[in-house]
Amino acid sequence: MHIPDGFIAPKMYIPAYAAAAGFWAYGIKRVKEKLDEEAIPYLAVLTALAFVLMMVAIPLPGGTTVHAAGIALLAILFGVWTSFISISMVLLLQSVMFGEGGITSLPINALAMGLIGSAVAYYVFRALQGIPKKIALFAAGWFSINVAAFIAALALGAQPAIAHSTDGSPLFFPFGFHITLPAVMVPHMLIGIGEGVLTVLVYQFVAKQKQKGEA
Amino acid sequence: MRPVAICFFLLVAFIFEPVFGHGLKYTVARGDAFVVEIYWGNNTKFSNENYEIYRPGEEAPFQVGRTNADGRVIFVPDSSGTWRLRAFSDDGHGVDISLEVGENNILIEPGKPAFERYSRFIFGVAVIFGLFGMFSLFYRKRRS
Repeated sequence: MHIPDGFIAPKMYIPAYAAAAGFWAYGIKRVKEKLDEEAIPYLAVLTALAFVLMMVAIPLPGGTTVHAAGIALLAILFGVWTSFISISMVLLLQSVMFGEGGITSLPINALAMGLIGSAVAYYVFRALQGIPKKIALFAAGWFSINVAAFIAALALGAQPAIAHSTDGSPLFFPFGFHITLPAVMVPHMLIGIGEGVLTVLVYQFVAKQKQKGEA
Repeated sequence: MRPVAICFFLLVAFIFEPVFGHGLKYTVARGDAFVVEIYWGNNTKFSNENYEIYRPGEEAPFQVGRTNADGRVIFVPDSSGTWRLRAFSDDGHGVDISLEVGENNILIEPGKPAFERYSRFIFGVAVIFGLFGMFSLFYRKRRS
């Protein structure tokens, strides 16, 4: 899901940087105000888990690879803004130090996974409060990664239309929506199951650890 | 009449050479080519995916195609400078690589990520814990 450098046109990534900068500033302010000191070690561990999950490529038939992200866990346990800042930090680290994702595509990746993915997880979990918690957690995990992937597919698929030469040939990513949407979404519908199961298991583990800590 | 016919035939055969056929000519020779091998994150071959190669400073591709079954792109640069290779799959995975080509087609060592794959895990987790440790100290200092 990490869009690399060279695939997104300046027409898209410059406004995306402007939008993301505003959200990052607001998010940091919210984290400073709301974050409990005792929650910092948990947040550090789950952010590290998100980093590791994003680095583990799972091969799928056809050659492509996908990865889980741990977005829903961060969003449900710490809120949308803390999750957004943590995921953005992971994406920045991956792009600057390890060449995963890109600097120009950072705001798109951060907005898709960090902000929209976190918001979807948080509100899906809240909306499903009446049903068994495991199902709500699973749904939050599945939807968070799939909506984030959908945004990434839209950003990629828009490139031929917004950035092309005078003869119509694409200057950045060459495939339109009709290719990117199925190519991105079908694998993520599968990996969403893993993300959902992971969200349930890790949430239960963290809840138990918290209970032990409080007892 | 016969010499005229022979002259006409020779004229057609040697002056209007293309009239002979529509076939293409080719030569086969061993030469020095650049071979770029591309892999997915799990080290499987990035095979049969699209790529584009650009000459230094040019916007129109010098060469386009698909990686071969071994995930390789093979090309012969015809000038020195910074060549660009872009390869991409339908689902948005890909690379955008710069290759420094010196005089006489010598490849100047391409840039590599600073960390190998497995050391990245350890280093990345260490950086994250370090950042949160600093944040925790900052937070305590502010509160005290």
